[in-house]
Amino acid sequence: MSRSHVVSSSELQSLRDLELATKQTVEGLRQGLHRSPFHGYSAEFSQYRHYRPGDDLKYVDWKAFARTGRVYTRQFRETTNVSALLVLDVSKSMDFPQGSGTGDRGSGSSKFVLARTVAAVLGTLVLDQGDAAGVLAVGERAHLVPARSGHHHLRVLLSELASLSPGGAAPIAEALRRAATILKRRGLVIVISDLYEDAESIGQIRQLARMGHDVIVIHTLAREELTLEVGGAAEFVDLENGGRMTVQPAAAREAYVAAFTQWLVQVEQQLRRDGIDYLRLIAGEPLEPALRRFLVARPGLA
Amino acid sequence: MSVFWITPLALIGLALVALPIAVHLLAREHLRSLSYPSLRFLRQTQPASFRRRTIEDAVLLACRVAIVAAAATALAGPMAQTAARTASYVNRTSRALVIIAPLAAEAIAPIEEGAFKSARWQRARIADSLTDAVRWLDAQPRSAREVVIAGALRRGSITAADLAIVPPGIGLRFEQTATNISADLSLSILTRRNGKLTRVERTARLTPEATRVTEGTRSPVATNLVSIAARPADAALADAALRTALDAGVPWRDFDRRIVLVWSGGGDSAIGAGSEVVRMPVPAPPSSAADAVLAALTKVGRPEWVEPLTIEKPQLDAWTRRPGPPSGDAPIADEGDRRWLWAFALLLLGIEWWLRRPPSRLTRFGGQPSPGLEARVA
Repeated sequence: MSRSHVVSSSELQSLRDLELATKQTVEGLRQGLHRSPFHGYSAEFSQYRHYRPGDDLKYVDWKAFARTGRVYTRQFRETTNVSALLVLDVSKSMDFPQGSGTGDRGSGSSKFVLARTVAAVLGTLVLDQGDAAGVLAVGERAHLVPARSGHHHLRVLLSELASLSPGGAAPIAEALRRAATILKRRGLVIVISDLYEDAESIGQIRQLARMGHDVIVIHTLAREELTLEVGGAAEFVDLENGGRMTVQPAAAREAYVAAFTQWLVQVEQQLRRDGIDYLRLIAGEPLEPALRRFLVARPGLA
Repeated sequence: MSVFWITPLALIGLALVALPIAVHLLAREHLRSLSYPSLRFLRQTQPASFRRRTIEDAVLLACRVAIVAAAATALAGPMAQTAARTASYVNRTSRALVIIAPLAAEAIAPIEEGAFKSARWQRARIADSLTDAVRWLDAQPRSAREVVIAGALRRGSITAADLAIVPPGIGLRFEQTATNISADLSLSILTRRNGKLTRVERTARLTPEATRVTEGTRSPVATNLVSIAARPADAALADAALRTALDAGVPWRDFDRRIVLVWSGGGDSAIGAGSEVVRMPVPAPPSSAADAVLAALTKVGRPEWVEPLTIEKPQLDAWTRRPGPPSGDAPIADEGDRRWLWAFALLLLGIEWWLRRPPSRLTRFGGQPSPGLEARVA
């Protein structure tokens, strides 16, 4: 699903901007992180243990069951060998707030720019430690850059990210289902989205975690979505489905904030329940401090 | 009941009632379009401005029209001419106080007390004071008008000719502050007796009924005390006029001062050192020469005396009259009924503010997101 194309001058400039932003953030993060921030799962067999309810049936040794009549589950040794897949939501709803920015590559401080920058930073961190990283961008269609390692692949990764533009309204559920099949072994899945998805997409994320993948959800939001500080009365137009609604923000703010807050709490609780790491980022606010706090606090780095 | 307008031109402001109507009819709500990630947490609300600009909100429109109309009408200053208001004009008096000296200050206040408007004049000539007083009364707001003449009111201080300055519609009243003084007045007279200038002392006893004069001592006076100079053609007439005047007797005070009357054209050769020169025209006709010379000598003699008798009460009563009705031409300096209209406009403003309040309770503006909504770390 990866695509190659002649890089236009605007894409080249976008790539340079992304490289610069990524480099600055990564340098800052490296100073605060003394160990590798990510841990993966190698295919190296470690030992058997008795089956416990809830274990993934994929790791049941059926041959041993046939031989012995007992159910055993394979266990694997942790290594720093990471295969990371960055699932990036590039639907139209990510292009908010709109306004001054970089043309069709998204607004300067939009959720899309934030998500893309986060994907570039995390992908760079993974590749820098010698592991593999890939990108699955879901917008109008799904664009996949398979996970590879090496510095040459970093350029490919960043080039792909720089070429993205927000559009479409494809749910990420299908892409996540496809990601599950792509990931031949346990890996790191980082979902970067505003999560305006139906329950199926959230469920698919949780399924990835239950499958044994290390799942991180980075929830990107704009400050205006949190506060509804968008000026006076307006006809609101849904970015993805085109729906329209006349709203007086002053009158609707209290109810909106309450409902929105409740949804955020609900989503976070649902994800954490399955051991998913959850990080909420606000577009336009400093990225490095939030990322550092999150990566330092992740289990395994202490 | 009729309505009088203080500033009728301000009624042009009533045309401004078209403004709120025009705003309602012509204004169209142009809502901006705002692309938003998701509408799932929003509820449709109608902006308050919609309500402001729809003709269906007749109550709000009527309120605004009424505000403009009340303000414009208040500026025009309507005055309802009720019987009570008309009666109030008659019941109030503008009073001009003309003072004939001497008059003590503590005597003035009681005269001015109770007047709607009052002012005072004291000039050298009472006619000038009365003219100024009448002019002032004509400029006062609609009310009964009155001139009060106060002072000693001695005989000769005021005449019917002076009082004719005051129009019939203005009342006249007198406040007499002095009484008759019965006294023997002593005067020195310069006259001619047996062809010689003589000083005669006279005593006059004055009463309201009669005046009795008695002569006293006589003493010679310097021959050249008074002389007259004229051109040769008038010399004979001048000498004859001087003799006639002196024969009648002239009240005189300073018998050491030499006076020379000089007719026009008369030479200065008769004027000696230390003489006081009084120039006068040649009297015409010649038959009035004696009276003219007598008047000039009387003026020069400058006798000092005070009229002891006052104008009699029957005369004052005859001159007294009550104020007439207020003049229809008098200005109306009154706020009229403006204050009620301004109060009404303020009340309507409060109602208008209440009518266009937002439909739901306002929330906090510029609010920070709820705690815990910032970037969260696992």
